[in-house]
Amino acid sequence: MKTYTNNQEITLNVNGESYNVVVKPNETLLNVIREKIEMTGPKPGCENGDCGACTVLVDEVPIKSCMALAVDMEDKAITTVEGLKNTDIQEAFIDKEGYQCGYCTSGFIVKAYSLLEQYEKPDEDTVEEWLSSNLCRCTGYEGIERAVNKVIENR
Amino acid sequence: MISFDFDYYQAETAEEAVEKYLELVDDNKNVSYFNGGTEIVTYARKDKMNFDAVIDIKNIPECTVLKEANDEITIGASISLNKVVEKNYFPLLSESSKVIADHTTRNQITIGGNITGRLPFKEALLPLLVAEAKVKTYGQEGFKTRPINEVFDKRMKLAKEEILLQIIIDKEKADLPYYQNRKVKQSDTDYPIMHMAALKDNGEIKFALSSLCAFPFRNKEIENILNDDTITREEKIDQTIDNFPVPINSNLRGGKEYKEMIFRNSLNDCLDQLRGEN
Amino acid sequence: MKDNFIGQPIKRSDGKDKTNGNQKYLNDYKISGLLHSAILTSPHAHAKIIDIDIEEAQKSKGVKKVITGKFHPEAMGLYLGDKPPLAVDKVRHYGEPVAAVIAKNKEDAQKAVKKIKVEYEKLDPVSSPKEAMKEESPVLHENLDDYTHIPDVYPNPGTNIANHTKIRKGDYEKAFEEADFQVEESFEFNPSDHVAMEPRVSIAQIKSNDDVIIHSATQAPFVVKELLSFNFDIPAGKINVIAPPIGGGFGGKAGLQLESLAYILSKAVDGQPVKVINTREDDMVSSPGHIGLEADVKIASDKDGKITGMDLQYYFDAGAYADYAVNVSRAAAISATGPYRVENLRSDSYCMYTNHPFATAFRGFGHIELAYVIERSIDILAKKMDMDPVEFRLKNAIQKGDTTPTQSLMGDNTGDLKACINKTADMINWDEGAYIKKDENKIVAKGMGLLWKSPAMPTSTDAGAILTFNDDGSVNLHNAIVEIGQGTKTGLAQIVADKLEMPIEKVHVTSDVDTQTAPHDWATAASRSLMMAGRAAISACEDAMEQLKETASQVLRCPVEDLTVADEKVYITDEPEISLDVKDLCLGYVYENGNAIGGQVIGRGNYIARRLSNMDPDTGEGRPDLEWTLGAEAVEIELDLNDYSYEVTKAASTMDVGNVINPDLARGQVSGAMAMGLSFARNEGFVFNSLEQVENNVLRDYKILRYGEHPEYFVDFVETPQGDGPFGARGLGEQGVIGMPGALSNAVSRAAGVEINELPLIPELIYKNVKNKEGDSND
Repeated sequence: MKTYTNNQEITLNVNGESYNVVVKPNETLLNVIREKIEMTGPKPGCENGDCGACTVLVDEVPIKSCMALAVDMEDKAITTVEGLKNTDIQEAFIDKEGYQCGYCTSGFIVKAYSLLEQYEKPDEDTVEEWLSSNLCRCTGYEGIERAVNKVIENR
Repeated sequence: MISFDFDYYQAETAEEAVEKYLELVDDNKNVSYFNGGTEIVTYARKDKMNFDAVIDIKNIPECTVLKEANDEITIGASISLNKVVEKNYFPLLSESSKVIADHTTRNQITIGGNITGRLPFKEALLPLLVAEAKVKTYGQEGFKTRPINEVFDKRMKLAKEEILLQIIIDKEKADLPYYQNRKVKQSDTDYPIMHMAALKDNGEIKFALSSLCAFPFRNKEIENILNDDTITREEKIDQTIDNFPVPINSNLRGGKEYKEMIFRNSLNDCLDQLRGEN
Repeated sequence: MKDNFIGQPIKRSDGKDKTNGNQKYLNDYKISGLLHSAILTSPHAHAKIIDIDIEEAQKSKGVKKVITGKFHPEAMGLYLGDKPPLAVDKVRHYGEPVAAVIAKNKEDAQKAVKKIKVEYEKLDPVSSPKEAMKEESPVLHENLDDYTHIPDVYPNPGTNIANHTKIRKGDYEKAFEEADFQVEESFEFNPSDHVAMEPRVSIAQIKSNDDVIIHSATQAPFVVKELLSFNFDIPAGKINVIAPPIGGGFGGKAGLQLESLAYILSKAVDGQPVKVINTREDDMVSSPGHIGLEADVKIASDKDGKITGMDLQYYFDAGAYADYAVNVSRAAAISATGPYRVENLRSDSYCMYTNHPFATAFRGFGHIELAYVIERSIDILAKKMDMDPVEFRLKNAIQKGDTTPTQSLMGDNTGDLKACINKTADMINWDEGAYIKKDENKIVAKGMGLLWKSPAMPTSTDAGAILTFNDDGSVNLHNAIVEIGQGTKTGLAQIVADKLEMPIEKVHVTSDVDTQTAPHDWATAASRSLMMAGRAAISACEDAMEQLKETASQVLRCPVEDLTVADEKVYITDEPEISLDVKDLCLGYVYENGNAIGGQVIGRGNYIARRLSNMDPDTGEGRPDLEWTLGAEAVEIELDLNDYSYEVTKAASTMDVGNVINPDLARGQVSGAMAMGLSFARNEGFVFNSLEQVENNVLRDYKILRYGEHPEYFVDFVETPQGDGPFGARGLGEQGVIGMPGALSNAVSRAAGVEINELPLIPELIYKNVKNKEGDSND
């Protein structure tokens, strides 16, 4: 059986590239991505699974990386916001004031991207179900709603 | 961040997992099974839980099953709540599952974790209680399949090394008319102050409740009361409350008076819908 | 050709970085040699510290140093020096920092901090501001008399009163004697939190030459610099604060926050860089939050519905330390009445010490708190008089010629509040009815709340701007406005582009603020950044234009007055074909033969608040207010009578902002602020147990507004120019929060048929109030 004790090297596949990092079992995926792979897109907002600022995709499924252990994530395809380039949703966020301070934005972009990959034209309830996973304190959500709607309307 | 060290084992079979568990316990180690990890990781960070090792059971084949065959629905303990909802083999279970936590977190919370974890709400458990599901486990005494109502009493009474592998539900029960209601303090994305799930099985109501009191329950006395045609609606509700195993509790999310009011309204609603009387 | 950027929805320049994960916040930077810390906090709300045993912690792996309050026991504060960075002898609130571990890595620090043993002797906690007023309550700051403080703050030693602001205007006693109608109501809400998505973080280091470098997620780098300099005897020129873009501030990152702790930790390890970063739990209770309030409100009116007097007693729950709270309570006194014409007024605003986590600046700064109690009382009075609440407000709305509580005259810059009220009433469809029974179980109701705010800032608040040029003629605007999400930098770019009549893409506004190189600026707070930095920017542009003309006049051999600067050229106004390119002038002009004249253009601009004055200590008379933004907000809700749950379907806001510099940014600020005000009123507030420990300082239990819970937003503006504002603009960053608690409470009270005078407005609270009323009517 696969065993991880103390510091050892693991391989994580992030945004299509392989990274060899030395980790301990108690390290969360969020911290390893930020500290060892040095991608700071996913953010710590609560480290308790409550805010969604740390959201990444694992095999295309959005998860909160602050609640995942890095050692559990070998052999999986991890996507952070840095792996999303010039997508419709990113453009829409800029166009429709979907952000202000930007701290929650990485998490929202990843989550909204995933929603729009899974659904061609998600209805309001589905959008709400998915996006109520992430907190924003600045925008009041109007800009985010408009950004998502813009992508849907243009399809 | 988690500020204590532990070892991590990834089991490929149930036997392997239990063997390792017993080996570590023999060595005086504190061991926890690891499924979705949401509870363990967040509790460990705050030192509400402490362990020397975790054994990840997500790769155990039985735990990853999700199928409907031969009039039986089998759901592996490592299946995420979102997958349970998506497949929708058991509508009442979907209703009770899709209100737990938030959408992203439901990709990580497993049905096994929700039922066997430390949090007292166990909302995914209620449909299983009323549908009289069975649970398949593996422990020192080998594989066992038992009715969940025999294993659950305030919490899942498994032996310490015993792993919950699967939940098996009769398709027939899964298709029965049902009622589900969940109430919160204010925000929908929150632990509930009441979660009610009920089925009508051959004209009889099967009823389970969580969050209102300190632990979830389904009990015969209450079901007898609910199915008693000789008493009034008002009496049913009063007597049901009298037969709670423990009184309604006040907590951060709701005071007991408000919770009782909520419960009365919901039970009324439930009886209207399932028994169609007034 | 003149391009007008003012009023255009120009896109912000930080969009790409913020949407592709490249935007860096302080905690994203790697600094070599950085040490990490873990802070031990108090589990008790009030206790004596008997002993702290750090021996085992010191021996823990990777630990460099462990310190307690003894390391730097001197108390400090923004206005009143009452708090040491680590507790000394006593803890006064749940979560107060008691000891700190510095280690090579974070995990080692966390492991060590668990090994610190503290022995406490518990003391009875003071649970509310009114409790704190009582004679028999323990005095939380026995040495209040010895604390240094600014002259404008009036603590009362021997009591728990950190500040008392008195307002006396006219003859309130007579007004109440002669009143035809009056209401007397009491209100309360607990302290709450900013919940900015980025928890606070600061890094301090002391170089070998004693230069102190602070990197901090702060809204106020110059305040940090000045307070650290004052409190730690660091010469002003030897301390430098760098403020990168932050993940939300809302007032919680203004003032002095973790910087003092970071500094002493760095000092403890001979100046090595040390990072102090909050967990979410600590960010909520160890660092300060949003003030609480208990208030007694009396309003008198005549039979025509004209307000004749108010008696306002505000008891603010400032928590364990004074921080900004002494100014919040003062600001609430300055604006005590809300935006109404009130000629007779008595107001006492008390800033009370309690054993709760303490308060700092929070969006609205005293105004959101007072607006809640005033707007509720106005509705209750209007109901008593059988008057429509909108009509009542129109009748009493403050306007030009009226005076404020401090008897400051509302002059030509006064916004049109009545227009705001009417627009908001329209947007929310007030005319269709404020109470509509949709069916047996559903009530649709509306509520209104007016708002006003003036920045509560020192009379000498200032801003600066420096304009330099690049060799292509593009400009750099050096400013000290911190990017907190509000996009002010884009507004400043618009102002500069408009003033210089040049393409906006060629205006580069500095992002990070470095106090060593940026011009002085008070703080990015109080909704005055665009106004003051905007004025300074205009001033810098004018200075630059003069310098360009100076050099050009020599080359073109014409008087300076005959020249115009526009479209990246300097030309003779009535002979525009005679021109020079700015790019050939801005770094000096070089003749064909090689002679160089003029030198680089450095535009200098500053702005200092005009004619603000201190307040009279007994009556409050004075002019502390720079400018007033007035507005009206309203909400519509749908209440379910079965369980008293409700949905906020619509939220409307109209504010008179003088001139909307950027409509998209303005709308974003207002709707975001409305969401925050709604969230606060609907579901926020610390929950304390009987020992005054906080039970809900995690986001799992402290729920802010989520996607899907937000209403449909209606935002509009009225533009009565602010004479001294840049292009006539007034501040608007905060104001959107202010009217919301009043509006929501009014709608909920209306829907439920019972006056609810408490926050947060959760269904259980509505239920309790309805039941009490039914109980009363059954008696």
